[in-house]
Amino acid sequence: MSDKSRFVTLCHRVLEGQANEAELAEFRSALRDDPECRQAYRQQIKIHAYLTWQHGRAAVDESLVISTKPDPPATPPRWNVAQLGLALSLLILVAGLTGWWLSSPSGIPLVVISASDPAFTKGDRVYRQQIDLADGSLKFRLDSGAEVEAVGPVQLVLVSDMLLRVTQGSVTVDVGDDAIGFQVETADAQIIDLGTRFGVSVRDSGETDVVVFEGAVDVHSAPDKSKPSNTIANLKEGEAIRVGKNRASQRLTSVVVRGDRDEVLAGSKDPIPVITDITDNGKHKWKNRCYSVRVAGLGPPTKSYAGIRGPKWRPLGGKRLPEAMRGADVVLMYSRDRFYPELEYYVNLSVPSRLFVWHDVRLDPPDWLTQDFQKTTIKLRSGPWPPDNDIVSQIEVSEGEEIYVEYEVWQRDVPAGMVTLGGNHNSMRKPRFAMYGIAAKALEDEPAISEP
Amino acid sequence: MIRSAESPHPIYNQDCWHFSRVRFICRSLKVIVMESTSSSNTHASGISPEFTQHLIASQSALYAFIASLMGGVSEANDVLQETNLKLCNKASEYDPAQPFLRWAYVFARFEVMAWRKKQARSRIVLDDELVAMIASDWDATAGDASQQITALEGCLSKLPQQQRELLDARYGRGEAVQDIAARQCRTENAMSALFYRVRKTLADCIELALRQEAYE
Repeated sequence: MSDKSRFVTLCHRVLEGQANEAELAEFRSALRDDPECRQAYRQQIKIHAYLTWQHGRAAVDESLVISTKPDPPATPPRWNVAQLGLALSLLILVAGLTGWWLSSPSGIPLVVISASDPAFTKGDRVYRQQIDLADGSLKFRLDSGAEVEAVGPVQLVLVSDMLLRVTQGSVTVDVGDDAIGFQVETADAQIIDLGTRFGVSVRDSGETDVVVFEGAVDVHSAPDKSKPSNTIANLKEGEAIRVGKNRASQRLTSVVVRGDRDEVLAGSKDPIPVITDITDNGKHKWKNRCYSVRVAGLGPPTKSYAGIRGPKWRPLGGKRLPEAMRGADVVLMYSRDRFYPELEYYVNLSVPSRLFVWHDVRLDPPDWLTQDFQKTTIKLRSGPWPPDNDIVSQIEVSEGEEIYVEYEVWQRDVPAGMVTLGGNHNSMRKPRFAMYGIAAKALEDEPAISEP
Repeated sequence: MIRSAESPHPIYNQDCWHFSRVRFICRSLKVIVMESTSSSNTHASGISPEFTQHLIASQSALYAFIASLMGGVSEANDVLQETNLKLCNKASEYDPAQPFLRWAYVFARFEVMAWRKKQARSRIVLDDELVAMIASDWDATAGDASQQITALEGCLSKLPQQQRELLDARYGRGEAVQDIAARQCRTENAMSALFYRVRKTLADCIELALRQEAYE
């Protein structure tokens, strides 16, 4: 293939699983016709696979040989030399596979994925009975496959590779297929995973917050010898509750998260959110609806709507998000809210802020927006959208081109406290337009918005 | 299944080493790889310690080989697990005088072909002819996988900090290249070219390291 840069692009698209039919055909042709391309592909995919493997994003369980429940022996086992030799070999082999891991049989084994504390090194296999972080964060994987992110201050006990007990602070658990049934216990609640990613926070007051980012969990009252455990709630994606001492629960209207992977930050002092809470006046089908506020999350493409995988907030193609908006706290919105013009949102701000609202350019802005906010020259977009979504059904694009919705950005400077926002449109039902987005940034040292 | 806090870690559980009516499973494979009623030794099942050692040491190389024939890593783990099962079942047929990886690649390729049959045409990256070509090229270079991974560790440490952070974002935290590019205010094409260069640097470095090792 004469155009090397084209091959680089094709190879990237293939490795990332993004190549379309035409690109695949072009890629195959290059491999078939050019031995150098084949050599380059082989080199690229090998390193790609090794790195994926080496970072633990794909791995066969290292405990290759373990027993199921055997029948109890009638007599104590007698070990002959061959058996002992084999046993020793297997033990050494399993240990050898994890040669770079620390080996101490005291506690539950975990593999460090990332850590702010230099006492933990990425890739280390260590054994811990409990974790106590004053600050910073620790992400680790248990042998069950569950990945846990703890954000300090946090205290937790590792009971087994399928059970964590959180006594203070926040953890976010990403449970792989092999760890369905993973449990997190607190003093007041028992959370049983049903295949999901969820966060648990134990507040200073002792109440337990549970939020589900993907999948579902069952929340039960904590095991207690004097009372039977009862089911408090079944939570699905985008839902959250707060469980009190008396086993009563209430809707948790919002959680503050960090990063694109939704690390729960409750209790952490760093970073301090600008949007501390958001709630609404709606009676929702999902009565435990919870808004996620991603601290300083506006900048890199960030998920736009709960429950819709594809669309992310982005600047217009080829442009950069204006500095005035970068690093703003951004709210994960609910796309279905576009149906309800009477809906109101109540946004709580911790400091004087510039509040941004971006609204589908195809739709007339509602009165509250034109009256209270100032229209800027900035535009954002969300996408790429799945072509079968009714919101983009009237947007025409060329075949193979990705579909985006454009929004006009409005702004308003507000003091700390609560701000009320209205519905997506004035009165008519206009479901085929996208729900607006919300972000806020502290006003200190804020540059004025200019042309992007 | 929940293991209690008091239960010892499986690898320390003596039941593991009791061979009478003990079933050993590859846990993540979710299959029985050996079920022996023999109290004598493992030869009845065909799985020797040497075989287990080869199998464990070859996992990363098998994974890379499978990914190369599939054109990506997204489902390579599943095919690897199927391959492991097949290898365990065929353990008694393995001739220790032959290179293990070369023998294992045959089964891995078979499992890739079986996976391809179940896929929609649009999901298949390489056609039959290309799978054969890539497998043939790969087979000729079957080396010591564990040495390659060790060499990779050394080569990673030689990369500039900025490039290590990029790999960490992409492979450690699983961020999309598009998102990394956006964060660094680069185009996706520029970022993918950078990743391509870094991977090539690592491949060259590994080759050099193994060559030097061979001469030492």
